[in-house]
Amino acid sequence: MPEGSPDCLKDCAFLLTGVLDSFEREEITDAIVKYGGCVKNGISKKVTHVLAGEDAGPVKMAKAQELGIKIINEDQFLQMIRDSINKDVPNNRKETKDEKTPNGKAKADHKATKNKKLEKSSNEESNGKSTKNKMKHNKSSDKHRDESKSPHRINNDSIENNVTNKEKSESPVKTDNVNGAVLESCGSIESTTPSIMWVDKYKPQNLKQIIGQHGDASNVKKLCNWLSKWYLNRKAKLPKPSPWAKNDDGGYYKAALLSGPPGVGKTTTVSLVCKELGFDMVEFNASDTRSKTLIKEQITELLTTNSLSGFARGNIGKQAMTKKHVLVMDEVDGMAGNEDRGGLQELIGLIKSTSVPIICMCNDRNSQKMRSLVNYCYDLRFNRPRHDQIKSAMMSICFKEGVKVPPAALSQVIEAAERDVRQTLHLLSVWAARPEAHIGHKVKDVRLGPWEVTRKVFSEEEHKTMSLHDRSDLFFYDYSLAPLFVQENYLQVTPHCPKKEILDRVSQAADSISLGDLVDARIRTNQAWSLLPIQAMYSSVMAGQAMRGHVSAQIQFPAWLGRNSRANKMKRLCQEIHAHTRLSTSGSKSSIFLDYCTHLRDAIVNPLIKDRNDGIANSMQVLESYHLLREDLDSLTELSLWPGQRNPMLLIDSKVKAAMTRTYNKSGTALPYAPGTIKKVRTKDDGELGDELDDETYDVDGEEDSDPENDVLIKKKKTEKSAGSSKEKSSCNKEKACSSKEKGNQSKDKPSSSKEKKNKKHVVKKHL
Amino acid sequence: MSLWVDKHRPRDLMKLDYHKDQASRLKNLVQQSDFPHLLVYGPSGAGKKTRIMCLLRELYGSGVERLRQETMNFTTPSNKKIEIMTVSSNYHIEVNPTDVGIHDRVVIMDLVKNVAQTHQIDSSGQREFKVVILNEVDDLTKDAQHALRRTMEKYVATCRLILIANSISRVIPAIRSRCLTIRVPAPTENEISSVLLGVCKKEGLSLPTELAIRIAKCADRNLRRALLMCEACKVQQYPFTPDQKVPEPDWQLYIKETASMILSEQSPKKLGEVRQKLYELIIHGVPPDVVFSGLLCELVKNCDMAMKCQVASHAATYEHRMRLGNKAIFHLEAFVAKFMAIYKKFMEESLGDVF
Repeated sequence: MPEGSPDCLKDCAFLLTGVLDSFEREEITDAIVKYGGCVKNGISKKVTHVLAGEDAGPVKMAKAQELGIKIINEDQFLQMIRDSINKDVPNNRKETKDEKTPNGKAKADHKATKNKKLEKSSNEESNGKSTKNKMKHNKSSDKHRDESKSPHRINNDSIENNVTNKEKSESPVKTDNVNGAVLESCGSIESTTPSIMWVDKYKPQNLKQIIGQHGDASNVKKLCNWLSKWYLNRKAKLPKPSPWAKNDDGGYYKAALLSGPPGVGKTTTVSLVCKELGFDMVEFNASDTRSKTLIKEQITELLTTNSLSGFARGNIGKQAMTKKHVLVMDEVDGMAGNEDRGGLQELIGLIKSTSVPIICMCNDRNSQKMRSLVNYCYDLRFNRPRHDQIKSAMMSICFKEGVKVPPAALSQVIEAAERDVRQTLHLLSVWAARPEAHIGHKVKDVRLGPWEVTRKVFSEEEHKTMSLHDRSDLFFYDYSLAPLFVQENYLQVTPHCPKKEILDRVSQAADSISLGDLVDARIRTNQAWSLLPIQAMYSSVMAGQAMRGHVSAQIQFPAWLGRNSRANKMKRLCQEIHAHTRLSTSGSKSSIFLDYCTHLRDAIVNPLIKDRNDGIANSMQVLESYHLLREDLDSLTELSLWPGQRNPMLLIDSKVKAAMTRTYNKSGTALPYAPGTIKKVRTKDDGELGDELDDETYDVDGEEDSDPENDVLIKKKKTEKSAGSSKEKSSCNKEKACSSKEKGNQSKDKPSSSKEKKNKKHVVKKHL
Repeated sequence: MSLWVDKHRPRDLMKLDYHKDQASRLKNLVQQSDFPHLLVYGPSGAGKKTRIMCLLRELYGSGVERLRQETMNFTTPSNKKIEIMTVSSNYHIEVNPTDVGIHDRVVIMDLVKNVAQTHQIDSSGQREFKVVILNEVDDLTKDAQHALRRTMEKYVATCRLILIANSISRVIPAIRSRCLTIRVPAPTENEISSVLLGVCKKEGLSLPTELAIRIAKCADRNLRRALLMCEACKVQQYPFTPDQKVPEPDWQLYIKETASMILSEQSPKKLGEVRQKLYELIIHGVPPDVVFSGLLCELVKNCDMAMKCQVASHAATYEHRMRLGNKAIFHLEAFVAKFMAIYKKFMEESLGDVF
């Protein structure tokens, strides 16, 4: 393959057909892409050259001739590349000097030919293929320009965009003098002062420039509508919409919640919408402390005052004072920790009583923290913009900056940033700083989740393109979880090998995983972190190599973690029992597990099942002689219960159980150890369930007991309790009624309070 | 009402049921004035602790049976507060340092030193040393064991250590050489059955000899298990019949089930199911080495001699790795995978011969 100047095949679209003499099809494709051209799969008007080899498809050739496309053979193609080097120097000059005119011409020409061809093809509608092509063509021309991939169009686009940008950027210049200077300089192509980051330099200046927010149903439109109708909607009392209703304009809600991944333009949207509608933004983000008291005092204070910013801009009189505020709480999911304690609750309270619109923003609206907030907010979800939407915008920016980025590389950058516009811009500006270093390299810095990593570890397809180093890198995405994921999922893999060998492969993988565990133990005990690469080899690479194939089932989260914590819990229970029975037994902990627990449980439970109430004394004796607590019985049953067995505790009549518990509580045997400490530990574990709660449950058990002679005290207690509870209930009801009344009052009060505020404002004005 | 195991525990050295000459040697040892550190080892259920308690009674009289439980608090160098339960009398203190996991070194250093530095209040007519009993010494971390060796020499005047272990292979040689090692072997089946008969006689029950022998066989030479099983038999059915069903421990049944699963089918899918079973065993506190040996015993039943050796050596390799590693399940699974591969090949070859 001869060397050509970069981008020598720019503006060319190739169609390959037939078998080429000296190159594989893939090689040719790579070469074309490398030199800036593109390869089409079907013949259409976009195709500029048909590269025909031996046995070229007759239909394609005929079609090409019909459309007047240049048909070349391999030698001619190579010549094209070679020629480019000779032309290289003058070509470049031309491009920089008068780029607009030739492209414009080309476009015009192109369009002319297009129209002709359209007519032609319409004549031959009987031909199935041609109609298909036409359909395609129509579609592509109907779609937004951004979608077309041919370099022609992108160039044209970028120029157009550039022009519109200039026009647009001129409008704010008039109003905003400070920013204007900067804007002007960055609008022009010549200035390449790297004083501002690209992200700020090319920040959208109006709503239309926000990427991916053009349609009528877009979030920008929705937010605009919601915000502009906000005051009207407060007067009209709207019913709460059902959560499944589509096309809700959010009139009911006093706050909006914008959610979406980072870098899609949430904050930009809000600031632009506010600017457009003339609202004053009061913004709080994660850098501010947003605790309960602060929100209560500062924000409420802020929102009832007036902004004087208008005066600073030189406006006089009424215009100077903006009345409309909007509270923007950025990064609400960051409201956590000690500093922001109670902040979310206070925010919800604020939303309920607010007299200004509130806009909240977060990344993950499904997170636990947001759960209470979402009920009070108009839900606007931002999705990542489409690949081509970002691409076209980036192309225009690259053009403005005078950076040449091959389209394929740009696509890679966008995908690497996971369609995060901000990130993409940052990556591009790095690229612009040192383009030669990156060309030909893949952008690798993609963060993979453990699921994706596990899939890659085992997939044979991926192995083909990865070096050993790349494969060991997979382990380092999360070196603490990776071995667990591999171990959990290696059995789900179908290795590509003869059936006889499968078990050998599995055993190999299991073996290397077990060796990996040895290394892990060494790392953890001796802090020998330098051994991690070796663990990577054993735990991930070798296991993946042995099982190379494809993952045939869903990749599971490692069960080891759950199992391990359960095993630890069992161990803790056992240790407790061991400590309690220490005086009367001789065995170690494992003997409790293996021998004692079943027999001890049976010794306690069996009399209760067999002799019912008469057996209580027997089982109490066992409890006493082994110094066991009532809770230990539950631990014992948990320890001795195997899957598939029936819990013997269920066989005990609930009345007998209750009676036994009561006898136990009454007996109050002297224990050789201090049970208090153990109880404390337990209550902590059970999530702050106090002792009182336990007592209550026992009482509930007591209520079930129908035997009146059983205990006088309990009976009294019961009646008292029930009386008390009924009283409480009635008082509760009263309170509820009161509160509902109050609510009514509040809602009535609201208009009056707003009136008061207005009055206040009047006062302020008078003072001024 | 205690279970039989604890109710009929012998309290005097001379009343022990088996290893009588060892008991008399111990008695002689006590009567001499210099009493060394002891390292008592033997399998679970052989009667180590019983023997030691008898020994203490011989040393100090019945005062050692007045036990109390105390919780002691320690602070690790990293300022973590740990608690440990101790059992003590006026003459001895017993502790299980492995309860606190990797912080056992702190317990050893603080507790043993504390005890060792205080002298007996009234040494006239008594021994001038106290006894510290440490349980499960073989599970101590290496650090703790090293901390122990110096203390043992330094405070020998005021304190004797009795270390209890299942096997001395994991006790460092430095400690082994500082102790008089006493091996308490597991009782033979005959000894167990005679103990069972004796206990039943005390309870006023008649136990057929055949049943006693069968229980002894089932119990794997573990006297504790035998007694517990015997009592379970009594609860199940009394009067006894010689052909009565002896209930096996649940975990043994579970291991057998797992083994038969492995033998029934060899495939990655089955291995996945076996993994769940292994997890369940580990959760229920069955020590992984017991799982290893249990599985091995069941699996080799179906193998020829050459394969038996092969499988056993693999089991040994993986058990060794398990000791060195962190996550027992990985090694258990690797062993099962290895066995499946070998067994499948073996089956295919033997089937190939048939056709």
